[in-house]
Amino acid sequence: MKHHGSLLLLALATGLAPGCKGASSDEADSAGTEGDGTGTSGDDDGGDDDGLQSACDEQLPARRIRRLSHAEYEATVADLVAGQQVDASLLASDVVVDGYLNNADVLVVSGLLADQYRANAETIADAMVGDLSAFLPCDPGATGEADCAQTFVESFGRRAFRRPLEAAEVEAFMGLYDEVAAEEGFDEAMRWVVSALLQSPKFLYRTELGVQLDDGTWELTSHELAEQLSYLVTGTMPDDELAAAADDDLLRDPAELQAQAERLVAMSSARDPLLRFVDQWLGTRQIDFVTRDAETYPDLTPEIRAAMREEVAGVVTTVYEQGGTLRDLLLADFTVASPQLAAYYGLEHPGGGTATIAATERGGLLTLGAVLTTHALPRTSSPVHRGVMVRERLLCNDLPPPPPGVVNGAPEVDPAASTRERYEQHSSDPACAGCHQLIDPIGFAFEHYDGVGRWRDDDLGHTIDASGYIAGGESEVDFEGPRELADALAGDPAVQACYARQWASFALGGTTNDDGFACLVDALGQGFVDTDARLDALVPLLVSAPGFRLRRDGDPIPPSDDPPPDPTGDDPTTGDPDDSGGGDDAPVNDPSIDIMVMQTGTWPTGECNQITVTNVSDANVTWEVLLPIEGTITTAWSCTWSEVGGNWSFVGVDFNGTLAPGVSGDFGYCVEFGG
Amino acid sequence: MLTSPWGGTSQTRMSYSAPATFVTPDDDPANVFDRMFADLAGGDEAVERLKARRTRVVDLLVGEVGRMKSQVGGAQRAKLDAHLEALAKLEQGITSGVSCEAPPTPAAISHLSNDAFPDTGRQHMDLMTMALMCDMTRVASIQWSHTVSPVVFTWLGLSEAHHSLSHIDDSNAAGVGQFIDCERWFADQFAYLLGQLDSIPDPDSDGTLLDTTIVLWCKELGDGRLHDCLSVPFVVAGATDCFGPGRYADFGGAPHNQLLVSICQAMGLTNDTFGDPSHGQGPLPGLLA
Repeated sequence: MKHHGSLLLLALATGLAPGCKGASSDEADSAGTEGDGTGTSGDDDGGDDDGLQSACDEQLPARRIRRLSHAEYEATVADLVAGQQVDASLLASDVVVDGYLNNADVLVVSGLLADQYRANAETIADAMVGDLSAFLPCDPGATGEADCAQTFVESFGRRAFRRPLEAAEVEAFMGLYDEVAAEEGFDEAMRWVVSALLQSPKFLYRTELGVQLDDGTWELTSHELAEQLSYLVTGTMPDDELAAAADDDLLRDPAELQAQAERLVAMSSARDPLLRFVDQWLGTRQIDFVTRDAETYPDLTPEIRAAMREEVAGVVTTVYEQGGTLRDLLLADFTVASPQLAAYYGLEHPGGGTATIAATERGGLLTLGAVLTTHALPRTSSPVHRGVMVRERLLCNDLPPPPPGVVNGAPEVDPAASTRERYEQHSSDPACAGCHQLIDPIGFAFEHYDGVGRWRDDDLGHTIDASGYIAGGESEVDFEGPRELADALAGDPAVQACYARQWASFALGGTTNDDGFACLVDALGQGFVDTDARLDALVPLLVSAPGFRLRRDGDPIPPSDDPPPDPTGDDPTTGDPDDSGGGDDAPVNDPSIDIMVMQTGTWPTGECNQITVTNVSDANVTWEVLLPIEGTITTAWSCTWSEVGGNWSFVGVDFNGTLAPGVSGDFGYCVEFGG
Repeated sequence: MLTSPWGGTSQTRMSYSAPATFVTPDDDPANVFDRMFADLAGGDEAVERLKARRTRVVDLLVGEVGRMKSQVGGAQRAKLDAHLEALAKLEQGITSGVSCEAPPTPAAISHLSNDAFPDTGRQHMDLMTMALMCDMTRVASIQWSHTVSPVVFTWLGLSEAHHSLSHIDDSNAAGVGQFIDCERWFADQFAYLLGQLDSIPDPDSDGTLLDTTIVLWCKELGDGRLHDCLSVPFVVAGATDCFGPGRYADFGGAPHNQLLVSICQAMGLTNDTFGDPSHGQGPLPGLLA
């Protein structure tokens, strides 16, 4: 069998979609996505105290709808119908984009999900009908059944839709009521009305559509603002006070909106979205399921996993509620552990239940048990997984995929060598070293923690070297151990802006495909840095931004041609090849083919691109794609290439070289820009 | 099966209803059972009324989605088009009939836990057999895991995840042996499914359900270590009249689309391509008996 002697583990770690979102440091932030100038433009120095007031006036986000995420759906049901619970983990899993489960572009209703919504709606309706008088706002015997039904549709519907129903909507649901009531009576009719309301798109989607102003922009209604604010801060439908403010149309006043935001942030439910974000940001939502060898790690019980999850919640919540900064989070000198978890870590527990325990080798965000365990392997730690986590999630670097044809795999567990030695040897191949020198030296910082997050003095008898460096920036940053690494990260404005960007990805439900959102995220990053990265600054900053309240026209209504939704959710940076730097000198390609370039990875000194060629003519085409030369091609797949007249010329191979009309083929290549 | 932890992407989905449109898999056998059998209680009249009500609600929802669609532009409309399509599928599911008695409810298991993998698989295979036996569907698929499978075959005494083992270097004979153990276990599961199908008489012939069912076992890669899709192995069983059993056939690198065309044609369909027609047309020559 064919294989290389060297191994590269990136495919494991980057997993879903090796993507590109620019790099952290200033010199590298031109990595490709539109509107990606990470806060360096300084165009928000307008003298306003509110950093985001004037930043993106010309670039508002597009109008859109957002299906409730599964977590939002679960929380909303619980608030809407007292005593009812649905289990979000049983719903058809959504497309995950960049680690997040709530990307608005890809949250759609599939056939299976529609059936699950139906089943849940019917279960809830059954329960309500079983105790109907508790849910009815009126007495059908006194007011008349149809009148009472209508009152219910209006009041329950108001809460379910987060806005009053329009007359036509009331009519539609009353039509259903009348039909069933005529055959089977009041209770049965109410059952089906509830079932229909809980499957309605008005219940399942949040809208950011607004009302058009004279200048052509769209201003969200008070009801839409209430909904947005409520899901942003508390992850569920508006409470009564916020709903009343919306009914009185008070929320279009920015001061009132901000006051409501402050009120909600103080509520305990405001921790739910924050912790969901952290879980998705750092991948710790997987802690219950990551697989560990029971023989190597018999102590990692389900209870310990659960306690690790509570530990993340405890530390994050504490820092947040104390008005702490990202530095406070990364360098926390305490942890929050159950007696069992404390014993597992070898920490002294003061007794009683879950308690705060001073501990410097524990507590900092990156040394929490759940973070270290999630980013490790069944039988060992993994410097690669941990290094990639820091690169991708704290520095917002996206790493290139391993070159095609390289065998990907972790080095063998070998008692004769330390983990670090095994990985250093493993990454010594020049084809691998380019990327791994960005990854592994960071991951080595955590070598004092084993594959299940416990401190270890030595690595199976081998001395541990936890020193490392952060390469790829203007200057290399050396550190010794995880606290020095955390210190270096905490002081880096790029890391602070990255945190804001990660949070915004979650808060806004994905932002990369929209210039208005991208501008908002950049401004948010700058505003966050200006507060010294106080964690509680992000909500007020976002709520004060015009992009929170205003929308621009998206695609025209009705559209000429609906593009199909992209169920792969890869969220690619697509673009005309002319954008890739060729400018006016860009080569001219055969008009019978359409070319889409997708950047699949960038790093400071190179990038990989995948190109989709589509035959847009009505005859077979044997294609050639011309692209401007940038750097040196290090690897290419599904094509052969040459230099022709100052451009690269790519032609296909046996299976994609000739395309029938309407058919697409793919190829790709990676380049090093060189110096 | 274990398809959820990574969410849905083209890397984690096997079954598609149209280009780039995957069929959302249901990991939980209890869910599948409920959707197949839960609503059968109460007699014919009650079942018919339930269907009528549900259909009426779907009709109302179609109107609601349509009204919302009129307020939004391109990409947002596409989301609602997907919703309309989902409602069409829902309605189809509501109105299709079941001519079968419900089997006992499967034992409750924690279907996402690693060690429940064998039991979960067995329940899915039993439900699949039941769905075919009851003629609830003519096509069914089971996907064991998402790609880069984290499953550790602890019940075989193994400690490395399937994906890690798939990358084991040839020089590590023990590791390669463990990977073979995993694959042999999958073969055992395939044999179990065939055995179940073979235990049920086919109502329309003298044979068993296996004799009238084509069962295809496949993987997503050829050489997993290189992530390539060349020489991907396929095993076809059942349907003895269509495929001469006991054969090893090598089609010299023909695209697997042609295998799928052969299978479609064996089922009586007339399509000459499957998926992207640039990846091969027509059936595999000489495959059908």
